[in-house]
Amino acid sequence: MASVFHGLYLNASSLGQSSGDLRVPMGIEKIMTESFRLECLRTLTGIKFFLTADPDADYLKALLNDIYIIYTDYVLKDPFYVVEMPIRLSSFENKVMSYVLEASEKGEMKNQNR
Amino acid sequence: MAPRKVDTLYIFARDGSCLYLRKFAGEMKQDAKEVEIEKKNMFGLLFTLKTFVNSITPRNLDEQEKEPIRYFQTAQYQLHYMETASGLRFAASTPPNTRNMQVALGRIYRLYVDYVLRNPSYRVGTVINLAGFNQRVDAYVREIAG
Repeated sequence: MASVFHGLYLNASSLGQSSGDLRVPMGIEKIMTESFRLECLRTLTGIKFFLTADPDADYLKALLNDIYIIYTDYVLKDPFYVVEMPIRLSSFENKVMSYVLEASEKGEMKNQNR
Repeated sequence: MAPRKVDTLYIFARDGSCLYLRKFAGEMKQDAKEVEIEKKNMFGLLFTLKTFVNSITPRNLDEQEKEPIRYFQTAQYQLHYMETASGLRFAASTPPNTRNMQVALGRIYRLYVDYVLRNPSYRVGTVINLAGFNQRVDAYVREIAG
């Protein structure tokens, strides 16, 4: 799944760049379908975070940035974590879960008030 | 409709062949080989995107059901997509953060039906080279550009 997305990301990037300058691929940031949306954050180091959510969830960009910060705090700073390996840290997962729940609750409230 | 600036319009047949590729964005000289590469890459991207979206959708899809893609966006462009029941694919690239273009793509499909399909000299599934269609598409793109 993730590798398919990575390929898509690069494809989309090469179709956008007419100059052929491939220093920083600027690939897919958002996919919108009828039942869901996907948003992606690419860090300067090439790591991609992506989230799927409701089509009207417009708070994902901020949430992705928060998750990036959580990643640097709970994963990268973990002395036993080896970069590029799968992440299996409950502290990270719990923190992400609480942020996501909070963001989606706030998002739903905002949508209900519209 | 709020103004929408279409940069490129693509029409692909079900088998992946590009029936129509039209750029509205000014003078970008591309040689024939680059254009062919662009067509293939675009179709490949759309095809893989569709497979990806169908597998990642939270909705429970039936056997034949597919998840309709509306658009995707990069930092440099936004690609709006519409697929007809017959497998014809319409894609339009615009600057990022353009509003939804499903209605506009529907109109262009209508133009295709009226000026391409109904044209007695056009053979379905071949490259579209019809002045009438080109004119109508130009006029419509200009109209929605605001």
